[in-house]
Amino acid sequence: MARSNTSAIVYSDFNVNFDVNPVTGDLLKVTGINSVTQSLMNLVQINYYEKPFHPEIGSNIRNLLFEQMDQITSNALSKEIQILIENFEPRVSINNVIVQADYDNNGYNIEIDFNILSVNNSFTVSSFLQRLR
Amino acid sequence: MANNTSQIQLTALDFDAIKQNLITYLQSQSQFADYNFQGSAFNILLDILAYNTTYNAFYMNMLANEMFLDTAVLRSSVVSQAKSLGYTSKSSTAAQAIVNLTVTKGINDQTTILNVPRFTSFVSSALNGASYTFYTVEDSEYVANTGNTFTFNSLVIKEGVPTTKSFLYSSTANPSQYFDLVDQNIDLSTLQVVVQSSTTNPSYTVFTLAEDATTVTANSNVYFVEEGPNANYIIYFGDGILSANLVDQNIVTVSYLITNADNANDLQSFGLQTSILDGSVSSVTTATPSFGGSPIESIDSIKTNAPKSFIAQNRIVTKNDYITIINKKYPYFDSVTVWGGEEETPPVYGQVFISAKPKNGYVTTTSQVDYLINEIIRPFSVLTVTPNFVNPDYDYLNFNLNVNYDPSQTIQSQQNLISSIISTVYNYANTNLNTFNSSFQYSKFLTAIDGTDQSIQSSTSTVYIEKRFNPSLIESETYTIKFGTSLHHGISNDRLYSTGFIQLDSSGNEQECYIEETPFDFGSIESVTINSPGYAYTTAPTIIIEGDGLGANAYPVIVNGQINSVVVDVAGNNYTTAAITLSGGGGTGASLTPNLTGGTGVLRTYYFDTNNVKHILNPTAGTIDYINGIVTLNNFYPLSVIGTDGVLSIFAQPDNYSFSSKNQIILTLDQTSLTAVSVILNAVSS
Repeated sequence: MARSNTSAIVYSDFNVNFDVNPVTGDLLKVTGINSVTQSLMNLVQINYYEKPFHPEIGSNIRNLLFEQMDQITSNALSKEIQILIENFEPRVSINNVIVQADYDNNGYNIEIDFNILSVNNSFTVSSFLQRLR
Repeated sequence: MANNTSQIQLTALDFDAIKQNLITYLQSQSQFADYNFQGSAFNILLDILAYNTTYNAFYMNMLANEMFLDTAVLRSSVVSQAKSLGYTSKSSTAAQAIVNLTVTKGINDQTTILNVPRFTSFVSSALNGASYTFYTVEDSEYVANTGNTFTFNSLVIKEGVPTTKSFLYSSTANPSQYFDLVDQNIDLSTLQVVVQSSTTNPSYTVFTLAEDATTVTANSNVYFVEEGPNANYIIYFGDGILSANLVDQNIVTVSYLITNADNANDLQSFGLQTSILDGSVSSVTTATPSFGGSPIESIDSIKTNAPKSFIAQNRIVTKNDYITIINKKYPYFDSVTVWGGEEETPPVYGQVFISAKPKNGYVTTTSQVDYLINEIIRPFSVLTVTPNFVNPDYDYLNFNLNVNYDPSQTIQSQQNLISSIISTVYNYANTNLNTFNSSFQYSKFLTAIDGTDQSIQSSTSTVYIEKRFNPSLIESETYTIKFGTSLHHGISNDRLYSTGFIQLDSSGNEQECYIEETPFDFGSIESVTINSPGYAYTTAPTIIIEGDGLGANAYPVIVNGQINSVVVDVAGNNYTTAAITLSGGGGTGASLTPNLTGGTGVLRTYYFDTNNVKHILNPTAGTIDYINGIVTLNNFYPLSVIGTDGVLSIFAQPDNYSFSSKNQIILTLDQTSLTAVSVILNAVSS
């Protein structure tokens, strides 16, 4: 995961792993760009119908991972991620989403290049999407 | 801006509102700010919290709803709530028909008696492409042959699928003695429960349904029934104290019909499915086509009926108890009314009067009345209160309408306009009259007339109440006719009158006679009421009677300075109003009111001779009590009555044109009578 030294501290969230401060025992916070990237990766993993009472929030990415692994699916994934973020993450504007099929590992390398609206720098977050079952 | 966001709202019940409440709450802190974004961890945590709260709120709400009869939605909840009110929901009812069966046996058949056993099947004709199977639900009586035929009259057959189930009872496996019949759409009235001692002992006992726990003893062979969670029925038995219990190895056999309810109504013809006697020929005729099939009682109906049944407590005490139980157990009447004897004139204490209008016709027969009183009312009524059935007494209304209309504003002919007005009158009667405790409202009646056509400018009407009775033609009798409302004191052509009858005149000739009100039989001072006796009178003051009549005179009697009584020595005449003032006597404070006669009047009979000269036959034929609306004919003995069916009618105007009926009186309009409504049209220009 790419990191930047520029932080937009207006954003603050807790760590999805529920990590605690080893000294105080308080829930650890993630702030600024870290908070936004955590949110982006969370969004990518939300399927339609996963949020209670709001079936429209999410994407079809999980189903696409079970499709034939080829360029068409890669493009579809890219488009899907782009639409998802445009719809549900108002803090960022997408510059580019690169999806590359990794045939050897049965997954896709994704790279999301985006700008946080309140910050000038562009950021990149990358991940590996793989079907589990 | 000050905003009390730290307070969490507790009233929301739906997911979005609860989540928004949590977000509003979080706005008061600065530790975590990302709760608004769908992908943030905090937002997902809020989803979980809100979902959990919604789930609990819904569950609690549903739980609370189902706990009360008014709000319960599930049938099982409604039935269970009704059960606590002692109410068993009505089961499906099989359509039933009544048929006559003739069985002609073979020539060499030696059978001499025959019966139709339970569950003998009959197939109906088809209705909407489907035919249904009907069954007898009990063994018929044995009949002997007449020649070669056995005739079974009035066999009741019910539609359904006969089902029989057996349960082996074991006190360890089923200590509560509950047996679930499982099936839906059972007609409980066809349920038969037989308990056989054991597989080795074939003796058996028939158990009957316990309808009233108070009449059950330890030895009563009864079963109880209640509705289960799926509109199924569960039967159970007593514990040996409340009623007989089962013992191990008993075999409980139940048989019943599973019905198609109202689908099988209105089937006209039936045939025997399989012969009940080998080699015989059967024919079936329908006495009554199938009727009465109805589905299981609806949830709404249970909600309505259960509390009412609970209020009545299977007892007849209040007026509504009578009406409810009569309507429930004897649905033969259109309208039922009940009143206590204390409302009668004169009062009859310890009695209750029931009057009811049959659905078909006007009069309830004696055998129906006996059944109603002895089988339905007495078992439930209070011991010392005697029920009496009174056939309804009809007040037939007659209208003479005078209608002003503008011919230029209508395209209707006079005849059509009159027809329209008459049908307006009929509609008014159908809507507002014909039941017990109905009212006739004169102004509303005229408003309805005026609304018949736009050309009608105004209308007036005289209203007569017609009472019909059949006088005895064989002996002299006294008749008391109750109009049920105060009557108008007639002076000229507004007097009471009757239809004609034949009586002998003084010379022994038959004459066509009529009854009328004797005119001018009022207007004198009958008595004086002392409102206040006053004080300090040393001598009797002079009573001055002022009014529109002439000649009345009265004087007071003074005792201890007060007016003790008033003597009317001259009654005077032609008073319609009168007042009293006092003069002299030395005292003060006395107040007197004169009472005019006119509370009662006199009836006479008359005839016209061949020269059209009027003769009074009997000047004191009867009396009228104007205030109570009672006409009495003393020793009335006509030779014959001019009119259909020997009916004599007496017509009188009500004192007030707006009146209502009470007790057994029903206001009605005889639409078959040609004279009930007469219309005179007057052409006016507006």
